[in-house]
Order: sequence, then C-alpha cells, then structure tokens
Amino acid sequence: MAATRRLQKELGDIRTSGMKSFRDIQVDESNILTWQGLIVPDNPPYNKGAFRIEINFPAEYPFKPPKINFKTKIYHPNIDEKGQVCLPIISAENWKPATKTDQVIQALVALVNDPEPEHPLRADLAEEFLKDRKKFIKNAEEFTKKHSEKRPSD
Amino acid sequence: MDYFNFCHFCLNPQVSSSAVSAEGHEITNLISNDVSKREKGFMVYRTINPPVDVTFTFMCKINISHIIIWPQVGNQKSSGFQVSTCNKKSSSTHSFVNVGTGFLKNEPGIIFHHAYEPMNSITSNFLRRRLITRQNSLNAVYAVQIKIMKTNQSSVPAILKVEVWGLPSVSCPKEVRMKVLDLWTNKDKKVDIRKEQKKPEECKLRSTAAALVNQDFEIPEDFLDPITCEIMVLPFILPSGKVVDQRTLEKHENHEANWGRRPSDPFTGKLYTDASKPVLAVALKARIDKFLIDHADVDELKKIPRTVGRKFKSSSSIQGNNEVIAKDDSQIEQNLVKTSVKKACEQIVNIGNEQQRLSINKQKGTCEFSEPTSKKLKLESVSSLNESMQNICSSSSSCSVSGSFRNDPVSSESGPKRTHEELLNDSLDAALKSALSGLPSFTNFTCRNQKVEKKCSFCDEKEVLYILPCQHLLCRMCLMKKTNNKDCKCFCNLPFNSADPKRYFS
Repeated sequence: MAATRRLQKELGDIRTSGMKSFRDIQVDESNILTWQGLIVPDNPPYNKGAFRIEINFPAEYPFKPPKINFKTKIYHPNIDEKGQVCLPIISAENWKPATKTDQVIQALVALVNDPEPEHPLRADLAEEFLKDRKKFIKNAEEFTKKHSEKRPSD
Repeated sequence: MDYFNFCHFCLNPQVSSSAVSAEGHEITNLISNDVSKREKGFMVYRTINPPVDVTFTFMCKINISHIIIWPQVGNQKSSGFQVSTCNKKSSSTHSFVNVGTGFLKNEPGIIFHHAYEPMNSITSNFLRRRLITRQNSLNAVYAVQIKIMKTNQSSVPAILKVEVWGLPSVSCPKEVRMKVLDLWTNKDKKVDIRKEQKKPEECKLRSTAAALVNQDFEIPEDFLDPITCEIMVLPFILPSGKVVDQRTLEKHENHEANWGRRPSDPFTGKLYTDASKPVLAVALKARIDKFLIDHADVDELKKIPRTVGRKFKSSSSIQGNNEVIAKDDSQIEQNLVKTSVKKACEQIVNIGNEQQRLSINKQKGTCEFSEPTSKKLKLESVSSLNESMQNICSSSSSCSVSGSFRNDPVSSESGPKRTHEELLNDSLDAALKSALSGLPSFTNFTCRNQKVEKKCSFCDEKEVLYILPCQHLLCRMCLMKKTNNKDCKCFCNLPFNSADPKRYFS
C-alpha cells in the first residue's frame, strides 16, 4: 500500500519529536491507517482535561486527506456532538499531499485552544461564545470536568 | 575500480585444455595454490601445434573487466591469442563468442580490456587489445576460453599465468556474492605470503565490496519521494525546488483534476507554466539507477520498476480525455469492423439475389466466414472477402442496374450519373478501409490520437462535432441535414444508423 511507508515515517517522526499537546499515540499493528491519541489543550476552558481523538487515513493517503474524529465529548463551537471537526487544512479541496500529520495536529490543537465562531459546526455554542463568554466558559469547564479524560501527569 | 581475479585459486575456478600437456607443466598449474607449480605454468606436449584451447570455468557468473595473459614459460612463448566467452553452464553445449584477438611481437604479455584500462608498472609494456561486447558477451560469463593461435617460431604453445578480472554478475544471488567476497578477502590467510604481495587496490576492494553486500541496507534519504517516502523511479524537480517521483506527480494531478484544477506544485499549490514546470532530475535518476543495479538482489528493490524513461504527461486533464477517446476509438473500431463487414456482405447478398446467375453458396460462405471472426478479423478473411466481391463485381459488370442497394434509397439520386461498377468499387473501398482500420498497421506510423483536423468534414465548422463510425467528424448542422434527408451516409460513402454518431470532445 502506498500510504504505509509514509505513515510509518510520520509516526516515527511524531513519536520522536515528543509533542506536548498530542500524546499517547496508539496505532494498531495490523492497521496503520487508524491512529488514536490524546489532545492536551493549554487554554481555558479545556486545560482541565484531555481529549481522545481518532485519525483515519484513507488508503490513498497522502493524496487524500485524513479524517479526524473526537472520541471524547467536547463543548466546542467547531466540534459537533458526533465528534466531527471542521478543519480547513484537511478539507478535501484544500488538501495538499505535502502536508504532514504533525501540521494537521498542530492546526487541530490550535483550533481547540482558540475556537473560531465564524465557521461553527454548532451555531448555538458559537452564539453563546460570542455573546456571553463567561457563561460559555462556565459551561465548557463543567462539561470538560464531566466528560474529558485525565491529563497525563508529566 | 576494484575487481576480483576469478582465475585465482581461492575462487575455485576450473580449467581444462584441449591438448595433452608436457610433464610438470599441467594445465592445473594455472590455478594451483602451490607457488612452485604456478611458476612452471602450462605447456603442451612438444609435438602439438596450435591451436590449443584453454577453458576456465568460474564459480559463478561474472562480468568481465579485463584479462591478462603472461604467455612465456622458459623459452617457450605463445604469440597469438583468441579469447571467447560463454554464458551457459552446461559444459557439453559450450557456445563460445569471440570477444578479442591479439598477436604479440616483442611484448612480454597481453591485456584484453574493456572500458577500464588497467594501469600497472608490471603490465605497462603489455600489448593492449579491446574486448568486443556483443550479445552480453562480457556479462554473466560462465566460462572463458583462451585459444593459443600462434607461437614464436618453433616454440611450443605455453601460458605462464592467466588473470580474469571482473565482478560477480548482478544476476547472482546475494549468498554467492557474499561467498566470493569472503573467499577473496580470506585468500591471504590460507596461503604463504611469499609471492602474493598484497596490492593496495585489493584492500580498497574489500571495503567497497563489503559496503556493497552490507546487511544493514538503507535507501539514501534523497532517493526517497518526500510525499510517499518510497524510492523514486523518475525523479522530477518541481518549481519549488523539491524533488518528487513522476508517479506521485501523476497521482497528484489526477486528484487535482477531480477538483477541476490544473496541475500544480504539490508543495506550494502554484500552477505550472511553460517557464516553471517539473523537470526530470537526470543526475539523480542516474544515481538512483546505479543504486538499484548495485542492490539488485535486495528483495525490497525487486519490485521497483526500471524505467528507461516514459513520456511525461504534464496535463492530466487532457490525458484523461485522451484515454476516454482512445477507449471509445477501439470500441468504435471493433463495432465498425463488425458492422461494415456485415453491411458489405449484405450488399453482396443483395446483388447476388438480384442477379441470380451467381452462385449463392459462395456468398453465404463468405457471410458465415466473416461474421463469427469479425472481431479478430484477419487479413486473409478480408482478402478472401475482397476476392469474392471482385468476382461478383466482374460478373455483374455487364448489368447496369442502378440503385441496387436496398438499404440506401438515396443512392438512386447519384446512381444515374455513376456506373454501377464505380458504386461497387467505392463501397468496396470503404468497406475494406473501415475493416482494416481496426487492425494494426505496420506501414502507417501516424499516432491514432493525433488528429490533425478537428473540424466538420463538410463545412469546416469546429464547434459542436459528432463522430461517425467511420471516424469522420460532422458538425451538428450537417448531421441534422443528413438525418432529415435520410441520407445516412458519410462522404466516404459508408452508411450509418441514426444512433451511430457520437458527440466528439477534443
């Protein structure tokens, strides 16, 4: 498969680089096309927890973009209840085969840290984010406490 | 360059001679591990005259670089040599190819060499002859035959020493190459070092050969495509300065074409222009090819295609269309052969029915013959068809019935002006032409996709074109006129059904 070699290299690179905001990468031995990992945001209201994501690479990778799904529920204007994310860098029409997965993850972490209410997936949260920031932060913190995973200690 | 001497006893060569040797000067002396025997060399029994064959067989197939012969034993000296090589293993069917001949005057020895010319103080005054390459005669050689053609005056044919330098053929398995290297590197340990002076170039040989068969095989970083991380076959330099493989570029272009975008740099997204577009990285390609050949026995690289170079298609959108058209072409042609032959046959039968003097059996025979084989129609069938048609033609020439084609009522308009024979000839030509159009031509070298004129055959209209089964183009207006008049016939006289014309996209 064309994707295998590239993914092996990228996985090795990400593991050796030791990204702080994306940890605990698990890849099934038999299927390198699916990665799981923990997003660890730095900005409030999400800095109290960690969020598990799944990255699915198509067989045509790197000519087609990967898909990212949140396995942990998150109170975020750009991430819907099913865990789907709207990330321009991996949209099918913007995708460039030269884009590396670590760039994708950095873009995702940046989006989690700083929501973009201009292009929301959940309009209600975006409205709350824009009009009543305090309420949004309070709700998000509560939601994070309730649903998110424990942050890695180190 | 560093080579192995495959006549050295450490590499287990075998040697045989066509003549009986003099006592103490056996042929095996040439490959003996005993120095005193080696010093005696090979000499045939004194009554034997040239030619004398000496054949060396090697432990594996080798690529020959050069052959050095010391021709003098005592006062006996051979002065003419012919060298031939053999690629086959079985000794019974040795078929030797002559690769070089040389006649000595006063030189102390002779060197047959190829691209690499050995320079050495000992052999500097040797006669030099080039080895001739023909039909792989220097590659994957299993045996070398040295024929002593001539001797000095009344001398007895003799050879003191022969060295055949080369490398194990790349077709040899890795184990064999490892073994050759191992034997060669350890040769000094087993032998007394009296005569075997270690040459500095042999040390170098060891290191490079060791690198060659290194177990920890790794593809150099710059041979890998940065996008797919696989070894490149046809590296191209992009306008952005990155180097990627042609396969990657092609795939990227296809994906871009899915979005209706023109080909662009996969790194920057900048569209290619005439001034900035991917260029083949020739030097890198040469390095990769060398690498692939050097590591031909690595399983990982066996799947890598070897290219001599393929035409690079820079515009995938055009390419896509061409493919579609090409597919359509071949289908149309197949159908065309079928329909045209059928129609031609129908016409013959029609004529035949009208002129009942002709034997119907013959035509039926033709019909039966042509229909099942119409798909892979052979030239014979066409010619036989043609023949039978001509028979009919000649027999019907006396008859001047016009409009004999039942299936094209319009022909009656043009009929009176032209004789029936002309009409028949025309339709014959058209049928034959269309029947042959699907078959490969060996005399016509024009490319099928290169259609020079893309305009209507009648009015030179270029906008909305339709393609007929006979591959001619018609514009919408002309086609409408024709179908409205029920004149379903191309200007080449080949009739078509109203469903036949297809929209043509250039």
